Amino acid sequence: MMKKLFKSLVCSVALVTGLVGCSSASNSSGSGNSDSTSKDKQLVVGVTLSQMSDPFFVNVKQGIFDQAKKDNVKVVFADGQANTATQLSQVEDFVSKQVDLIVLNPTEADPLVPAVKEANNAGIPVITFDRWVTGGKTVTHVGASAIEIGAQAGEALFEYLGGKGKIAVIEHIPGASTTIDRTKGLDEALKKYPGIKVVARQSATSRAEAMSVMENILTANPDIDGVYAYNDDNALGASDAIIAAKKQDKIVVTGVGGTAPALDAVKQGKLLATVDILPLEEGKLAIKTAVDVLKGKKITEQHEGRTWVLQQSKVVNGPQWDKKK
Amino acid sequence: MNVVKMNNVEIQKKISFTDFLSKYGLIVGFIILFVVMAFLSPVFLTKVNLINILRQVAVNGIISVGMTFAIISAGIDLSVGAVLAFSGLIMVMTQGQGAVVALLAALLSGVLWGFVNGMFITKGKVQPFVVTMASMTLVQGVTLMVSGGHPITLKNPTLLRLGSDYLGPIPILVVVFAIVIILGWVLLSKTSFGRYTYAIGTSESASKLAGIKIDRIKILIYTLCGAMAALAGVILTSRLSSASPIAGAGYELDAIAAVAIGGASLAGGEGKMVGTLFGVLIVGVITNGLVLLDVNVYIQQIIKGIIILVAVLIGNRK
Repeated sequence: MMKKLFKSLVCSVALVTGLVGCSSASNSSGSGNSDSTSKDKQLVVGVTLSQMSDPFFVNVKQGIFDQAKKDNVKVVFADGQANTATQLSQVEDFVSKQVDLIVLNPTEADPLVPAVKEANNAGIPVITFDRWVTGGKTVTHVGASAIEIGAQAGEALFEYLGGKGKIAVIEHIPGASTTIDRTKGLDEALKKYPGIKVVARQSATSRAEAMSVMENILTANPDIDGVYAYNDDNALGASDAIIAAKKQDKIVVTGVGGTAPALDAVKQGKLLATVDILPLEEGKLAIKTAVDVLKGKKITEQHEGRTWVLQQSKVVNGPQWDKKK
Repeated sequence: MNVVKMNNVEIQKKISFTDFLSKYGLIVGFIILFVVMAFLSPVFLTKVNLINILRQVAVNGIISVGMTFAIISAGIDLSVGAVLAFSGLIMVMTQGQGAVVALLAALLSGVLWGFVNGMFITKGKVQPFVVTMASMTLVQGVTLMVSGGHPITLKNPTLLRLGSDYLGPIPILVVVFAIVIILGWVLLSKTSFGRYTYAIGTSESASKLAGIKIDRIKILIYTLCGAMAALAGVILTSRLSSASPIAGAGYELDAIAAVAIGGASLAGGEGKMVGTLFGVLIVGVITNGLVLLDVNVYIQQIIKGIIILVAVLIGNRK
């Protein structure tokens, strides 16, 4: 028993030292940033992304750092951990570090308004990224339009179905701004294709849950023709259920996001299509815009009633799509 | 249980009625729920749907078996969801070494986390809630770090079969769940380990006086919790053909809900494996039924909350 205890202790100590090593390394690079600004006037941008456990944002981060290296920008990076309070204090840290600009990808719209105002008071420009806030002054918004993407995915699916058929909808986190906007986009697409009937509208927040939900939808509505999923994980879960029920020849699934597993699934013919938001490009666009703003360029582009540097998205389809034609 | 000491016949009669309710209320409730669903949805009683329900409850069911032991011993394990994700990741990362190695590695990783939990709870003398909350956060962090935040695909055909193949008409993972619940029942009600679990939950100091090796039993309980979480992780990963670092988030609460509906008291000393089984099934039938009926997503949550409350009220009438 003592031997085991010793072993487990050694394991945990090793683990802890490893972790501390990591975090102190990132800290030192963070403080190094502000030092170097004063010397060679390298631009420093504070970036906080809403949730790094989401693969989408892992790609975004990659894009941000790629572009920052190219433009010689120092990035002070923070993970919002899907927690508004955490993100608020991160923005406060950016303000006290006196970064040149803040890129904010807010977890939620309303609660982060105070963070933006604090940056406003300190005279630090703020760019919202991918999701926006409802108050305070922001220079511009950078990102793709969730409404447009919702409509694109819907139109792709409905066009494939020849404008008529029964579909099931699997929404994402209830109440999230992206969920609300996707619904708007889907409704736009549904208006254009009156022959499409939504027979089930459910929600799931993980691939596992989406699979269960899809199994149950299939039981209640065995005759559906297509599934419109609000994100890639839900699309993959739905596709898992459809393949398990051996109905992949009858029911097609579309997703949204362009995550690596979904793009693979499209290539393998498991998903009809997904809308690729190009997270890598979106991340790059954030830094490009930040540099533009800091160099004094006026952002005038407008979209959906706000200043917006729009990230283009594209529908990606594969063998399943080609089979029909 | 308290009936033994009572002498008044009237009180005894009354208690035996409420005793009946607390004993069979859960099963009666389940039957009512089942019948109502069968009437409301024409497809509810189909073979496909019933198998679906069993398949969907398997993961939560396996976790709940471990959780039952922890709760009866007046403890809790909040780290099961995190351990599930970690074990799934370990299985996918070792899949190149062959199915058996990957399976053992995954299970062992769960056993290890459970053992560490048990050591901190007993030797460190920290409450289970705090220890397992800390390890939940820690394991989640390790899983995210190791995976880089990405889901990883499972390709090993043998391991994939575990989640998708059938044994006759029954999915393999349902068979696994059935075996686990039967073994859990035997362990809890037929062995000294089970009796000691109840004893510790009822009164730790009395158990100590009676000479029960409390630390050893507790370490075993949390190791069992970890092992069950790992097995659930193996099954979920196989079912989804990928391991996601954020899989399992919130699963600890689903398991606690199932065990509580099953009549176990979070104060310890009370609970039954059969109760847990019905707790798991009730949650599964509700979830399945509400989707079949295409009930609005917001209302689903309200209904679920109410049904859990009612089930616990009926089960706990004493």
